[in-house]
Amino acid sequence: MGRQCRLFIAAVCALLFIGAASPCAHASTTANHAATPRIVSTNICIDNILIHIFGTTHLVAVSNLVDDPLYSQVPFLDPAIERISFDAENILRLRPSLVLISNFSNHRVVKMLRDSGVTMVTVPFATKLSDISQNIQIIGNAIQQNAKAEIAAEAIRQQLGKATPMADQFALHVTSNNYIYGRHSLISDAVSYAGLAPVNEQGFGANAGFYNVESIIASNPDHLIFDDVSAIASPNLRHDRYHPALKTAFPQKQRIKIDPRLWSCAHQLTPQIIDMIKQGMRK
Amino acid sequence: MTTRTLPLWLCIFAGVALIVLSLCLGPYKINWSQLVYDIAKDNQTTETIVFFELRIPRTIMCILTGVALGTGGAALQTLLRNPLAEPSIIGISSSAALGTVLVMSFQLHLVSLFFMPVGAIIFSMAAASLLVFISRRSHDHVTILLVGVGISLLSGAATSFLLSISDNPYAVNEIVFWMLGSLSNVSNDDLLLAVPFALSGALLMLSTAPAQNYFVFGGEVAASSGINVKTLRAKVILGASLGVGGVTAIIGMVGFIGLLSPHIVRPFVGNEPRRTLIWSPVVAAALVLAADIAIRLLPTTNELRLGVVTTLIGAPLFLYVIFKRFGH
Repeated sequence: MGRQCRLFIAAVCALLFIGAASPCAHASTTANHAATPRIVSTNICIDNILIHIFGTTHLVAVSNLVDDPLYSQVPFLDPAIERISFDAENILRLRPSLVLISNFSNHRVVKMLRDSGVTMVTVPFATKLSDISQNIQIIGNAIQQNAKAEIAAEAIRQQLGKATPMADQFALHVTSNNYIYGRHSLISDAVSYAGLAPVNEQGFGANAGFYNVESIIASNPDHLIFDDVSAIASPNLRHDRYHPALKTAFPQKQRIKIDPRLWSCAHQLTPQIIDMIKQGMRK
Repeated sequence: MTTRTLPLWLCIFAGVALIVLSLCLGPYKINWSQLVYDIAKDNQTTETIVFFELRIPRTIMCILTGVALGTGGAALQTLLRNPLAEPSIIGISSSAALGTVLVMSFQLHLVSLFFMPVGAIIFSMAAASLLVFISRRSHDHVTILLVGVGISLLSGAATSFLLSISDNPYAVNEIVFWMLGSLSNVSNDDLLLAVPFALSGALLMLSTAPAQNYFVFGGEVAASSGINVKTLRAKVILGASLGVGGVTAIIGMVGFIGLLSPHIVRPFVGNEPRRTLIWSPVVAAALVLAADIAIRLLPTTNELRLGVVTTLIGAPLFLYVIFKRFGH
């Protein structure tokens, strides 16, 4: 028997073995389904709400951004809880009883998970501060902790109830790469709650997109809202990448600094931006 | 000035007009008399900020991009003896982009921005050296071009690999937009990073101009005419890498300028490589200025990317050159 022939037979045997092993793995998945709940959270916004309000009981995996201090507000998480990307096989491997997904989660992965019989609950991406309490209730309902969810949701509703919208000044939020999130975004809603208009009279700031610095200066905002990561980033790294012209055109008193982790996705701490903006205005 | 080169001289005047237009155009309406007054009184106002921190760096970067890519295209076409050699087609730009993305992936740019051009230059130099090495073994235009396309694909694949293993969707988004190439938001700090590399690269390539005519007939002929072929090759490789790397690291990938400009110049200089190399950066700078001004005039919410515009114009020309040369 030639060497190539032996290699061919070995490859066929390996494939047969993998094929035979797969149904076994699937069988064990199905068998373990009815045991203790196994919750998988698939994005950083859900991670934040889940861990802060409901704790880590039954949590088997979270998104891989959870340890990134620039995006996550989760202080420390048990390393035994897996960090995953939104990948069907990765999630199925964990034998989850519940997967919390977002409405922008990859639809092909969602379909694969659905076809595999995984229970999924969609937590919509919040574009308004009032969406946060709804999302908390959706998660609470999914993990059967409605009472805790109601308390947390009510606290947010009260926080938002205190804010009085009265737009007489225009404040524009801009990221360090000159992205503006537009009228229908969490940050614009927070700006409105702080008593400022997120869009100027000519409509600048209404549409999301990358803008050039000159357009931002020409839109003449009363306040420019910057993301400030100095408190969370390493002091040796140069995270502040705002165009120098923006800093020169908007002196300190016109600048408002906020923590980007509060607006990048909605969670129970997000309404704090309102107070941050108000404090910035009072400078 | 001869009648034949008259269009090229006119290109200089057009270039000057484009510079003035580039300084005047923008979403902010500059009050020019106020600007002059503020400059005279040394006041810092919105006018002076927009003019000195946005319009001037952008215009200088346009010229620098044109000069780097124009000289790179002309010098490489002669060295590789291939009219289709162009930094973006033969993989030098994509290798520079790979170097920059690698720096960004390891967050070295957060330590010092200086790492960005350095990364770009190292990778573009590796790509250029490989191409020149292969061009010495094979004089076939198609082979050299295919090797270049291979390098370009490999760099693109490596860049895609880095992007796909990144667990940060925000960073990926930013890198993808950067790669499309844009002169928007160029700052004086960016200029400080790009100018030394791009200018020294262009000067290095221009210093080879006297020897360029001898190189048309190959390395052996050039050597028999007293040209130090090794030095010339090294100068072009280093010059193209410094120029393309320095510019790409700051503004992203801008394709086809290095292809277009020598082809525009050649009919007016009698296909002479030396004069093509001298005039190509002038025409390339005018092209980049014109493309950037066109972008600013388009009524779009988000500014169109320069790399997209130059590719939309350059790719049809690339196909035209291929059909003209290899069509029959």
